[in-house]
Amino acid sequence: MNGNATGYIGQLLWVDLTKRKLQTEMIDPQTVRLFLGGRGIGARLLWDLVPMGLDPFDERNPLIVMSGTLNGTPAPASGRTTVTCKGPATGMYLKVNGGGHFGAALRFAGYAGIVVTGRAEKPVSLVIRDGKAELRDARFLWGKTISETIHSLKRELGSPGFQVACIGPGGENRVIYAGVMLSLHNAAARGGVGAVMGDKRLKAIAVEGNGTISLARPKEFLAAALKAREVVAEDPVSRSLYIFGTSGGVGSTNERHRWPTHNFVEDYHQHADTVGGEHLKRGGYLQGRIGCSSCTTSCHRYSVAEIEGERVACGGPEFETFGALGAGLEISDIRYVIQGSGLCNELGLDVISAGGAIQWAIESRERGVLSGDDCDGFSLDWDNGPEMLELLDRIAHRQGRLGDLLADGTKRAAAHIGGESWKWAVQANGLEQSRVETRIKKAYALAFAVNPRGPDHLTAEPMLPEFTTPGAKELMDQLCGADERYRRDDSTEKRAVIVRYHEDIYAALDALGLCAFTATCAYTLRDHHLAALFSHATGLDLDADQVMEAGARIIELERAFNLRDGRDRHQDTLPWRILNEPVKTGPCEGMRTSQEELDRMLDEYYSLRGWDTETGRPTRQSLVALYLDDIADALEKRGLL
Amino acid sequence: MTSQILDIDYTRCTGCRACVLTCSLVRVEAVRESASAIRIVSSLDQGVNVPLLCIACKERPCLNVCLVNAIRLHETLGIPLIDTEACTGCQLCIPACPYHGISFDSVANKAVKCDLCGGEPLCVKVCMGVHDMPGALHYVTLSDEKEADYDRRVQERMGVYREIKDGSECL
Repeated sequence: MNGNATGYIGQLLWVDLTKRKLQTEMIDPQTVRLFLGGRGIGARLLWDLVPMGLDPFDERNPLIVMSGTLNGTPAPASGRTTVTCKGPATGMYLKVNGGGHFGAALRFAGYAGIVVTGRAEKPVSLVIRDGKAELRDARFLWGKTISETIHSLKRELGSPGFQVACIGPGGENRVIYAGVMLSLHNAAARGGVGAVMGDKRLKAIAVEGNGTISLARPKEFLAAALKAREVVAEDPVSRSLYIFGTSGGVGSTNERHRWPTHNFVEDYHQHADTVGGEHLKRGGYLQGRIGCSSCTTSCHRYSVAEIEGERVACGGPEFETFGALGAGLEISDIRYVIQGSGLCNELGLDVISAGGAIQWAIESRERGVLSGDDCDGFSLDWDNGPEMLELLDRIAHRQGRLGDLLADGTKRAAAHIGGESWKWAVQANGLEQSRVETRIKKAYALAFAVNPRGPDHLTAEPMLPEFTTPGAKELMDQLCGADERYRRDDSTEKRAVIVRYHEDIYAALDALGLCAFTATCAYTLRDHHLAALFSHATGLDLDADQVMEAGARIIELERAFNLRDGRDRHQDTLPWRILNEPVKTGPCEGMRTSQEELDRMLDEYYSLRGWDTETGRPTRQSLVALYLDDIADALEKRGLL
Repeated sequence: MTSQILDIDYTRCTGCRACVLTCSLVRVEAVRESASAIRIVSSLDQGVNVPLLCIACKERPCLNVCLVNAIRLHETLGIPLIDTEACTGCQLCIPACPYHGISFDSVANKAVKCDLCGGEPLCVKVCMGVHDMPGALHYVTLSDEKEADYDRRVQERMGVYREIKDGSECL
């Protein structure tokens, strides 16, 4: 059992819902060596399984649930699990990644991952227990919220020990931004992954196991894990994330006028001092902290708010939640953000897109594009908490004209309503942008533009220039040199170098199942830490450079996947508002990210990656250098190289 | 008289299970939850996590219940230890422990309990990594005057455990 040279790896469970056929397959060690694990293997499988031009709601679109290579071990913050499919919001590559204990449970149950294809005739759940898997009737779960689903399923299965990943009404009704919940409080939500699960009529995956995760060199692994934990724990940002959570950054972000408010029209929220992470703690709403598997930081919150006798608890709210359901809607009462966050989790909705959709609706009403019957009796004004809660519920159930319209996301809603409403649909390629002021923060602007899943922060968190912690400074000096100019977040120089580093290490972290807050944000773990953990766990020895190269390989493959469907430089863009409407007031007045600025950064980024600067396409050379020869051949055959 | 004990502050437990995974890795050089001397019972909807492990109680019912005398008190550490060679896997000791401090490794077919890692418990080291923020597990010297408070907190923790366990609704 121990000392097995192919340590981790393990098997994939293949589930064909149409044929109700289940089978297992060992993962080839060479695939693990090249793609490290979760996100990387998911991307490779997606490339192999999805034919060019496939509709995301075609039953052949696979839903790939992958544990991270280090899930279930004491490696720091090793609770991240990746779900991959072709995304309905963008029609492009989609990986979502969430925390909790699901990935660890999957490993203990004897599987590294699950590949679901086909579509069930009637709702089903997939139940996995100690190396055995079965499909069960889930009609009694259809329509239920996340907590109802988890409770009912555990009762049916007779064990409270199951970890359950499931969809809520949002996924069932194919809301274009429905998420998969990995527990009641852990979301893997962007881009409509839950809609794909709902389209397959797969309500839930329940996993329980008392299997063994063997490690190739257990003693060395433990030493490396303890060392890595120590390094993460020493960082001041880890400490701050523990005390205030991700939303602890709301106050300072707002003070620096970088807090998108009023559907990205403004960058300062006048109520931020009472609608943010500090107040969550000060105001007594914070009742506990929730740790993902083996977490060193526990940034995730457990908060409770009562409104008119109704008590709602939520995991969160996160920084992004305070942006999407708080500042973006000009909400002045923190309790609505807490309850809205809890409601999105229960309904299985992505908070960023849900908030974005409601903001778009309010602005559309304000500008007279949305009126009369389209408003469904909603007044659609800013700072209207009760309406926000009601709308979230309507969206998840596609109830009424407005709920149904907003369930399709801002890009499709704007196309439907017409006028100039596309201009204030703060999305690119169909995904509502994360709550980052990309008019000012140029590294984020570039990262969002090239993100294979659309403009969001979960393939790279390039906050390096602004950070002054010892780890951040050291890394910044190494990447860019000690020039103070580069430390400005509004500088466009050296952004390509910064973004490439973040993308590569983020891809490696996702594959290993480690949280982004171990190597970015809290700039602590470096490539050599990841190499040691991976090598001692699997026995597949990689050095630091090879780990970063594997990260780059994942990015390259994701890019190739999108290119096959025709995405290249033209789609590397930002929401219209970010590119064209400067900040109107305050110290950042007049700032925006112009197309010229973006183009300059893109040129630099493409050439760093060895891609064609004119088209933004990978080249044969760049692909072959990363051992992706077969991908190069496939692209060439289609005339795409 | 003072003694060194593992003090558990369940209100600080985030349910991350780093202690569980580490404990197993130290014991069997692999990770398996049932090989760990620690269990965490969580209720996600109530936001509560309760660590369960041997607290080296004074009553020590485990010592008397073992038919083959496989559980013996370690005088220096002040904690009963399981002689794994001698343990027959009969599981009589498990319900005997009022603190649910003994688990059962179904793969090895042996009872498992805390041995304080010989005096340097690693679970304490991995509990809540962030520096100067107190975690849930502490290896401390318990003086007589603090004992009443300690006993009260043990009872409180077990009460919360029963509450969330009886609900059988742990998410």
